Amino acid sequence: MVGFKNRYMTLEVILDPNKELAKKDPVIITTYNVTKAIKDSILVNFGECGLASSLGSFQVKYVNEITRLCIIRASREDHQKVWSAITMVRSIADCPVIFNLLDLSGSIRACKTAALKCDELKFEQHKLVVGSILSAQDTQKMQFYLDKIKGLEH
Amino acid sequence: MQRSACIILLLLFLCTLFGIISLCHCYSDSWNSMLLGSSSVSNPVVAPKMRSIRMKRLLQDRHDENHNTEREGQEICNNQNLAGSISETGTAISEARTTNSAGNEQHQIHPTPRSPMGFFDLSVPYTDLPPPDRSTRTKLVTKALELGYSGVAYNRTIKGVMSDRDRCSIPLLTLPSLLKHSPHLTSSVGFHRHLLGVPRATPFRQYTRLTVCAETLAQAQALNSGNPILKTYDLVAVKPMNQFAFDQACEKLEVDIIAIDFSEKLSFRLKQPLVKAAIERKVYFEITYAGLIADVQTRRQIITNAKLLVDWTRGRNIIISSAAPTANEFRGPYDVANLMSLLGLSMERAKAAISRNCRTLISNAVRKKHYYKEAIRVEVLPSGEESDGNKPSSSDSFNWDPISSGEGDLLLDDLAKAFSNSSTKATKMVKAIDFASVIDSMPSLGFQVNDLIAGTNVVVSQPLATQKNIVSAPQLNVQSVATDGVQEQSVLCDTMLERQRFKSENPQKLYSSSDTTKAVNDVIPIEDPSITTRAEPNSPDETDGIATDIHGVQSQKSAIANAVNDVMEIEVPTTTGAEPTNSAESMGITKEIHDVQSLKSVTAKTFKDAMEIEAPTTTGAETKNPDGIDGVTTEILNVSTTNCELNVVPSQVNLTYHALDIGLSVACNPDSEVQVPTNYQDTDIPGPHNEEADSIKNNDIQSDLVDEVLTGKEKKSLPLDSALDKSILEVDELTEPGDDVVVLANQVPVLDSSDEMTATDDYSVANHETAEVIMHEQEHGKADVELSYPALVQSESGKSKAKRKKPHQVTFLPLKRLLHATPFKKARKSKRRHKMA
Repeated sequence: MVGFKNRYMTLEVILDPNKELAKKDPVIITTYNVTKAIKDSILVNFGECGLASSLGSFQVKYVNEITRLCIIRASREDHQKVWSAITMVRSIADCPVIFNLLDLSGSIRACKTAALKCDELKFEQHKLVVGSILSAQDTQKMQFYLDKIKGLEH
Repeated sequence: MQRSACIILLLLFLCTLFGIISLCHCYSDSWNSMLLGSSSVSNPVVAPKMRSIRMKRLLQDRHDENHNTEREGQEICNNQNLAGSISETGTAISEARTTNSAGNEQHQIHPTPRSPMGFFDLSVPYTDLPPPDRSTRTKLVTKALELGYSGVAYNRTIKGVMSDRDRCSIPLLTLPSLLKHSPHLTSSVGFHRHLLGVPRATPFRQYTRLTVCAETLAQAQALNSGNPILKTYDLVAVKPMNQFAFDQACEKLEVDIIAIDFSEKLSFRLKQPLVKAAIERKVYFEITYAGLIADVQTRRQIITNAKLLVDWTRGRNIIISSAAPTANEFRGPYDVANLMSLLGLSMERAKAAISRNCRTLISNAVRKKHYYKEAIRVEVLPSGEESDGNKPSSSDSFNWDPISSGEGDLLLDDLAKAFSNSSTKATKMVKAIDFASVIDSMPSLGFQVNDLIAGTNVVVSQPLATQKNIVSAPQLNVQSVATDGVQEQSVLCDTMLERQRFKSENPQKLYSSSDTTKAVNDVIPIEDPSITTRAEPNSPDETDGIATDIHGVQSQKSAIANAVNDVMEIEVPTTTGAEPTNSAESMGITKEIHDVQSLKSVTAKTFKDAMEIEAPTTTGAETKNPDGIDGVTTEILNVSTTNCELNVVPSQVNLTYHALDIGLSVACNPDSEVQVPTNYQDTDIPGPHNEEADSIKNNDIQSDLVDEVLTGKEKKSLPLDSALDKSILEVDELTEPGDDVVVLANQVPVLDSSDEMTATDDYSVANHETAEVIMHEQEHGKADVELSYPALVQSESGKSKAKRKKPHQVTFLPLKRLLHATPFKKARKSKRRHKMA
């Protein structure tokens, strides 16, 4: 039996909730960005030991900058701490952000289905927002991202 | 007479209770527990079995005209309402409630859609500053809406002495202003709500809140319920600044929330006895989370201080809100719940803290604000019509009651359309309206009763109408429709009860009851020409309005009502009356008066249908009906409560009908009893019996009782002491003169399911028993009737007079089983029954 359990969180990043900064896409979300922001938050709130113990299983598995969706893995013991730390993230590279959890699941499979659904819905919203300026490149990228989700493994 | 009077009183109580309860937001656990506890009282309208059972118990208990019944009934109804409203499905509240508990957070972030409660953020800061502040607020609210919250409260803080300038002047935001900020609100809202499990069409509510900083005794004393400035706000919070103020706040001040600023070092201690006292007074403590996110130092303070509070309260009576200065510090509901785990709050309690507790708080507050002495709705809205979109009856029946924030409700029409949920909303609203109509009709019945006493059948229709009007008038917003319904019900109940009492005093109740039943029938869109007009609209409305569960019932009820009408008219005034009452009652119990109304109509109709006896004797019955109707009306109220129980028990529409009928019949019983014996003996007992037997299962039961009573004890057996009892009995009796004996015997056992009555063919024995049973029945209210009715319902076969006895017996037995099976979930009920017995 698998003794070690993880939790997979599907989050969306809301950029600039107060609409203070420039209009479109103040910052591009990347795996690196998000990882750094969260780690900083864990460090500030839970200290060195907290960071160290949660770092073992902590990983940002997937980030989609178009729909601003990300999948983060954490160990089962620490997932609440990590989640709190994520909630308390205030900004990513000078852009105020809000992390909003969409789904929490215990297996990568369930997470994949949820993430696919959310991603598609968010892409629809994105298309609404962007309007007619939707580029083929974006669509292509989306396809790529969706495939990436499907290919996720623990 | 006594009995009728008692019954009437009971009904009134039930109605008021029901109204009150319905008003109250049943979501809170406390409500749930209350409902469970007070099973006896709840309104007979309760459709679900549980409710009916409760109702029965309530009725029984109500025998003493305790006010509890009303409350219980209301609670039950509320339960039902809550359940239904919340989920927009109008499911039984009780069921909904149980399912309301926060889902475990483990792997299920999204709650099971039992009764999705919305999430509220009850502290959006508001200051009097000009526009720049407003845009912040708009952004905040937009963000809240997007993240899936169902409501916010604009918080205004004042220090020092309150003056008249402090009256609420917070402008509520409108949907267009929000859309301006975020044009694609709809999709975002829908997306998030879907993930959270909140129904998409849930209106977004805005409330106003005042936080008073209390330091001195004078400031503290200003926070009493008589302060008119406070009344202009939806919620009132106190922010104690020193130990004295905190003591006062916990023990004496009449506030909704105690908001302590945890971001500063506390200048007083949180003592456990004080905190405990506050919890018992149902005052909520507030924890704000924006400080946790904003600043590191603040974070430290908050966690240190708030942890103390969480320890002392053990997680209960806590609400979480943001108090976010900007939209950056705003977080989604589940994130907030998780943050609270840092304070030692378990996930379940945290989730409850931002949904259920808030909802309870709001419903209580709104109730206080709009209802005078928690019984009379003060607002006046366009009568029962679909109020503007801002006041949807809300997906759940709760909405009407607790948390419609009036104009503040953003219906998100476009969202609604987008989600094609408008129908649901409309339904709800309709429901609300129905309720009003029900109430309207209900009172009219009551009037009818009075009139009936006079012996005029016409009254039935009129009073109903009048009542309706009355009810509708005060109905107010659709939002409050639900609430209105409750209120109305209570009002109706009261009126009904009063009327009943009045009726009961009248020895002639039989006829009047029959008339009433007839009237009821009439009211109900039964074929009966009279009154039915009102009933008709009521019924359909009611069906909608009344808990979803009632829907079916209502329709049935109307049918029953029709049927009942026939029955009644057939001359078995009692039975017919009982029928409609039963139906009405069954209906009413569920939802409040609306239900009752509809039930009656339904039952009446059903009776008609069932009976198909065509009521040859209707004329004869008519005469009786007035009495019966009167009795019925009174009974109806009671019966409704009982009916509700009955309905619940049989879990059949019929049963519900019967419940109503029973109620009606009960009402009629007292009258009918008196008259029934005469009628039966004199008139063609078989005729009415047949009709009644068929349609009015309940009636049968009652009639049986009645019969028994009649036969056995002659008139004297009539437990005319209590109008209700009698009416029930009488109704039964009336319905089945032939089978009276048997019926009664059966009824008695059935009715006395709790009393352990055994169906006996021994009339004499039965009579005596029935007499007692009847007495008990009446007292217990419709519980028995319900029992009997279910049996009757079940045995809805065309029972000829000759065969009446047999069928009755047959019906009773199964009914009995049914009766026994369901209602006695609560020891209380059985105790009551036994007690009664």
